Amino acid sequence: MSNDVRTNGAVEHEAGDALVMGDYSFSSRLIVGTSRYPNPQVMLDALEATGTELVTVAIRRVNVENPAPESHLDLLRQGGYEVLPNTAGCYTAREAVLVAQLAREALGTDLIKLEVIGDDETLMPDVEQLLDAAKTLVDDGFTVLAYANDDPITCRKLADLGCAAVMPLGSPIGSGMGIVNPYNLRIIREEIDDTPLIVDAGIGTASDAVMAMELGYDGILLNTAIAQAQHPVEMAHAMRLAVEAGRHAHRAGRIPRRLYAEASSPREGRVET
Amino acid sequence: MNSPTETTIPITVNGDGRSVPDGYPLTDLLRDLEIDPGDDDATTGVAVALNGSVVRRQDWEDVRLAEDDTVEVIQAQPGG
Repeated sequence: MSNDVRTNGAVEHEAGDALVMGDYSFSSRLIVGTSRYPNPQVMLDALEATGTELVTVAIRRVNVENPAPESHLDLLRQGGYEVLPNTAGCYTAREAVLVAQLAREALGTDLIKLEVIGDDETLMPDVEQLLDAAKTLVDDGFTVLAYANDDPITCRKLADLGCAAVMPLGSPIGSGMGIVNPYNLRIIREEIDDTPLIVDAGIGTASDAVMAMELGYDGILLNTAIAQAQHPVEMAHAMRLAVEAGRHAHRAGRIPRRLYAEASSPREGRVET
Repeated sequence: MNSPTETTIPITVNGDGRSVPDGYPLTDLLRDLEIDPGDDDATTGVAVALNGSVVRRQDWEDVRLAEDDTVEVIQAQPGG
């Protein structure tokens, strides 16, 4: 709050409200994926509309049959984005660690979005493998942003291992189901006040992002909600506003809910007949 | 260049089998994949693992491939 300047009701951010993860600091609290857009130009336009500074990429084999495609990385770097490689598609800690190490070598970053999944249907994390990989990567000097179940115990363990951010899911990846268990997300936030928390996965529309931010989350990571929207660039803009609105609402402190009405206008001086 | 009498060995590159001369330089394999190892622009965003361990870029030119080696060559692609 002390970083805000209030003038006639307007709130302007100063530099103090940055999202800090490890040695990295971002003024935008929205992390955006780069997959599933109608075409590269729509992706670039959408990314710009979100105001994001950090975008995710997958690490995949070079296509031996059709090598040297247009460089996805070049497009993103030309846009000035910091790149966050992921370990999507890894089923074991061993695979995830190798992919993270390849990503570090290829991209020259120690940032890694750690994702170790248990099956293709739910894309839910395999907790045992996730914790194993997180420990190895933190020990190896990575800045680990760990995708997790909305489970307070797992999230606490990831924070204690030294992850730079813990990222519980709102609902399954790509489902657009929003925040299906806000109570768990609230508990996770209340129990973890020493590590940034990001809601990663499941965001379907702007109100989902607002809800997550109002719960006190430090940021949002999403992809499909923008990329597959009927108008991706407009949804990108909506998400930017949603994250900012939710952040302000959280910081402002909402009024308590009450069952009965409470008049806004004073009772005194009413005209009575 | 490789003489026709050289022994060839099976290796696996990105999950697919192929035959190369015994002791084939990794840098030649990369050229076969149309990645010029001497071109910084071409190799930006590319990394290589040999038998499950990352080969640092500065070590690429020292690597000679042996029978049943498994090579992974990766790059950044669209992802969420």
